[in-house]
Amino acid sequence: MRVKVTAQGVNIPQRMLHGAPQVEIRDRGGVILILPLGGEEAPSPSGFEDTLASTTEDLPARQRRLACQQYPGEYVVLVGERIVAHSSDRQEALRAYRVAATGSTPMEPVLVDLEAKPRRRPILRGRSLKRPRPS
Amino acid sequence: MILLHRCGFGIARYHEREQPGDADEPLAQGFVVKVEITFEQWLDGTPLSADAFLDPGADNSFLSRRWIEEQAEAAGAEDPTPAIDEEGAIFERLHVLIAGCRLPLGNRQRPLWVGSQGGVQEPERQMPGFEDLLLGRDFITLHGLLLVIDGEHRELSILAPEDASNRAKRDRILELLQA
Repeated sequence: MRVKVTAQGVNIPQRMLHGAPQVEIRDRGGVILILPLGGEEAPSPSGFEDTLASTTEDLPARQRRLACQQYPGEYVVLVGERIVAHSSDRQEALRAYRVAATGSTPMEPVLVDLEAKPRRRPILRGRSLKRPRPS
Repeated sequence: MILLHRCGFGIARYHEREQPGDADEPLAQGFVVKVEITFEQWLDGTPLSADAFLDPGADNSFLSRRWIEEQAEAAGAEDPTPAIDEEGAIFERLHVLIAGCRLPLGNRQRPLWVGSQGGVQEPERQMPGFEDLLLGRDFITLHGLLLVIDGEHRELSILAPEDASNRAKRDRILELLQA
């Protein structure tokens, strides 16, 4: 179901809260979990999260998984979750990327290299984007 | 080859456009270096002018999405972006030219990330500052650069240990610091 977001947040129908007097709200990668606590049929939070984890992998992880499943060992070009090209030749994959990038797709294509090992994501330190103005 | 010799602190051209008063603001001026960037395929490998900020405080190097869009528009390119991978890092090989010295930017394991300046982005995709290219510790350690930052004269020098002569210079500098 869809509900409007108000200045106070959102209203959750009571029938969905299983009689719980309290809820726990968690943010999992942009997906908001509302976990009824103490209700008559309250689900197990850990079980719920396991289920949710399998359905809420982020887009880069899904893209990588799709590429690996269908074209292991190759370079794969995707737009969203749609594979548009694949090749074992790097230069050919780059050319295919160029074609996809100039197409009229709503999303930017990505090029997945399945030979690459997992990388650590950046943790940026350094100066802030905006300096506070002197008062 | 000495990459830079006593280059004064400054601000980037984009910074000056966004906050004109900062050009004369000492604290706003930093380790800004004029460079050229060339891509493996994008825009046919044409050298593209950019302002780079050398940031030892940043773990990773970033390329500004704003700069990418500006380059594509200026070139009238149908192809709006260099090849980017699923994690938002540049997939194409690319090089930066600093004072005539051509150095690769990133590699597959420590890539050059694409970052957004401003707007709502997850922290790992935000690129601080107003420059086009942020050169972090990954770049400094990849090329074994020696930086000399002179706070009194507000100057930056960069030495790349490319050859025996430069390596000897570096060793002399480090010895002097130990004396």
